[in-house]
Amino acid sequence: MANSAKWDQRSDQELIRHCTHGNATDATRAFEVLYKRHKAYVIRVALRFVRDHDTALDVLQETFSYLLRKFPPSGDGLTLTAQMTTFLYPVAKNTAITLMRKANRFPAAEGGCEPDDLPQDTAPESGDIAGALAVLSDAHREVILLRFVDGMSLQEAADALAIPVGTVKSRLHLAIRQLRESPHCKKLLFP
Amino acid sequence: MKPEKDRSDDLPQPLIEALESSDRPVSMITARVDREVSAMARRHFSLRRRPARAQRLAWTAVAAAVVVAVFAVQLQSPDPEQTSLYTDVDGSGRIDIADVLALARMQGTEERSQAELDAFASWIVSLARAGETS
Repeated sequence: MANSAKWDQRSDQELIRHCTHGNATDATRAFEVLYKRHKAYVIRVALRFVRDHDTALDVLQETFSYLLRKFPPSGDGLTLTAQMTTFLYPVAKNTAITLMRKANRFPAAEGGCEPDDLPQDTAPESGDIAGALAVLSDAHREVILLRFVDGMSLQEAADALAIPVGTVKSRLHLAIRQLRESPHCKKLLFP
Repeated sequence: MKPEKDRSDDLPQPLIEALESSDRPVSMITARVDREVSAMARRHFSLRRRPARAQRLAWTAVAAAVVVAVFAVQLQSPDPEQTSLYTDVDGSGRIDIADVLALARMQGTEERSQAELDAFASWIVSLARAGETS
């Protein structure tokens, strides 16, 4: 994969158009640029749901394999109407959950993730933030990360999670209240 | 992209920074996946034909078909001179010298040259000689 991909100035929308309508060379090139641009994000999302790096790499490959299938040889394919991250997030998340379930390492019930199930090695220098996040349910932790780490708007978070904006707002409101009341956060805010 | 400000947007800045640092990109060796994704993309898109080339080929095929069709039609068409002159002009059911005379009578209304009438007459005579008059 060419290193020059990282210097490509085209927007994600343009790259998607090349993948959809371009000839074999253009489409391959555009897809490689998209991969280079977003692979770190996909790995980050994967590591929110899986523990080990090997599985995260599998998630990365599966996510882009899924994206590739959105561009059939006929030329009619994906049209990007939102941010690329909004599209990639649910794919990476669902792939991660599927892979974890296959390996019998993921709890079947939604929101049943115990604090000690969380990835342990992702934040060695982040003080008590991991503990603060651990008090939140999966759904609440997810909206907090989408909103404040991934920088998504309420609408984008709603699109990524396939839920109404109102639900995102209420989850966010509750999550913020829980975080502010958490002793871990108080320690962070007032050391 | 910065989140818009609204009622829910009241997480303290130090907490946001801690969240960001907890989720910072991890350095991971992805060379194997890089290669596999690249190969996968090449294989996938190689099934796609070049649109410009395909279009050129299509137009060339259409042009060739038109040329062949025109040539074939020209080969199969009877001589217009023969179809216009050498017919049963008087409606007798036979083509004979009477048709030449009938044609000569029509000369005033249609543009028939004397040479054409002579050629028709010669043809009729030659047929009569050979005993092939229909």
